[in-house]
Amino acid sequence: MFRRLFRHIKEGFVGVGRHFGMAFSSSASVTIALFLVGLFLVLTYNLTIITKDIEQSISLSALVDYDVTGQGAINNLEKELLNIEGVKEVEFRSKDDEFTYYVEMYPDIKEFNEYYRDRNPFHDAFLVSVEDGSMLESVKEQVQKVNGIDSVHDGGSNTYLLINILEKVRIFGGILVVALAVLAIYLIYNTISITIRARDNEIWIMKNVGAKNGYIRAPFLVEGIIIGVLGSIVPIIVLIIIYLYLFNISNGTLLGVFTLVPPYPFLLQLSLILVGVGILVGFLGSYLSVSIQLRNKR
Amino acid sequence: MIKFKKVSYTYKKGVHALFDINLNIEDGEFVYIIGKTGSGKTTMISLLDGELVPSSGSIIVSNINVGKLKNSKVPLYRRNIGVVFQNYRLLPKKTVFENVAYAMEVIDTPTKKINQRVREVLKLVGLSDKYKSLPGELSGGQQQRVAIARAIANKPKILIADEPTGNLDSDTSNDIIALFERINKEEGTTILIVTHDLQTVKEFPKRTIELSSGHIIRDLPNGLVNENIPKNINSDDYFDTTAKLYFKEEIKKDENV
Repeated sequence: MFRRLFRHIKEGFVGVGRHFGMAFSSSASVTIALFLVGLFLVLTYNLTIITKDIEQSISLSALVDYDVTGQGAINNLEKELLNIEGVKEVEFRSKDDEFTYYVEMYPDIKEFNEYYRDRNPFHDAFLVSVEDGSMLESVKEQVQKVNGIDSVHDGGSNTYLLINILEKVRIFGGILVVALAVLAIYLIYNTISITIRARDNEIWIMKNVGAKNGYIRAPFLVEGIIIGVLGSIVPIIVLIIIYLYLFNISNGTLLGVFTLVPPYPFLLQLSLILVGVGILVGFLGSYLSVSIQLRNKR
Repeated sequence: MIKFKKVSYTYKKGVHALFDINLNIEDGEFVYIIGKTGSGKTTMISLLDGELVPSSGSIIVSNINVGKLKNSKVPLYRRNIGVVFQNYRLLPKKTVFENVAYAMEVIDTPTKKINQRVREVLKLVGLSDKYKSLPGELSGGQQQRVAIARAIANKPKILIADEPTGNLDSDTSNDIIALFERINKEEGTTILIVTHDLQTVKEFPKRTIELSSGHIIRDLPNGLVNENIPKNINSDDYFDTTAKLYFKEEIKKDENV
């Protein structure tokens, strides 16, 4: 068992060495595809984190009707808000708190503040935070329907637009990553097919002396995996260098506002993913091309 | 024992390659299969090798019905059959030793046994001193010897050679056929040689089966080969004459019925 495994691995390495040109061009095509996969993974992951940041920072301000007064009524209202699906937290801010906050925010208009101290125009309010940014709109609608709530305010339509755009970019990035992985499989399949066609003599001999299909396939799969791993090295190095450089010159932020994902452990995870994708595309590419070749002879 | 029972084969494109072939070959026999290109020789050995499945009839080899074998069982069956081809089909980047050993490696033979058997067969084919050479460094005859060594490395019961002397001069051809004779005697292997080289057949007379347009038109036992095949005759002329005679007889038989 181990002898056979060792033989397959050895044959796989020998195969790469003997057909270095083919192995090199296969690896080069995997390199290009994996670089793009890696690039989009970096973008998509950062966008996910940024979207989450934005979503988490958004909360709704639900203003309480002037005629709802008394601790009991406020508590009931708070319970009702907490029962709405998607609501994470509710924080009560009395109209006095709101007034004080306003006064502290705008200390320059002291006279104006003094005038309104006894005629506080603010509402009592609840700061409602949601579990997930995508639920913001539905929560807003529900809160508006609650008896005793005067009106609900949020960051405005621009916030929704931004979240929507980021969501779409993320989905698009995800699709692109999958499409590029498929492209990588196709590229490696094509190059390995050429390699294998050039080696049909070898396959023919193996078949003729009674080697089973699994045995014939094994060294080619090892070769495919080696090609996949080799093809992932350059994209990993290049992406690490680019990311570290951009992270350092931007002080870890995008446009000085959004926090980028810290390099560790993100780059380690990215490297492992790229090696994993490399192994997978190498394996699948060789599996498909050897299987087609094997089907030609019973 | 090899038994063809009413075997016919038609290719997917509708070409009928073999018609109702009945044939018995005993264990340890040495048989030539002769005929023009397109007579059905290669189809016959592809059927025997398990690569093709008969359209009708059955092929029994050592009590195994080859056509009924599951695809997964074909490799195991094939380990009993060695095949040698006109163009040798050696791996150019492997040494003589590695080429022969390869046949044993792929069926998982332990290394010690491989080393022992490869030395043995290289001695048998007279290439003990060339074990380190690459195929490109050898003559055609030597390359064919390597291919034969590879084919017999796993001690197959049957050795099939498809035009093994097709690329060789007559002296080398004789050496190769003599080698097959030796393998037949020393290892007890059943030998089937497909050829259209009548001189070889006359030089080393054995049972000779002649095919034409997918029919067995002659099955000459060892002793009758030389008196039935004229000296220095052009192979194609010979095949045309025998085919004409045979099919004339067949038409006569049909008319009488």
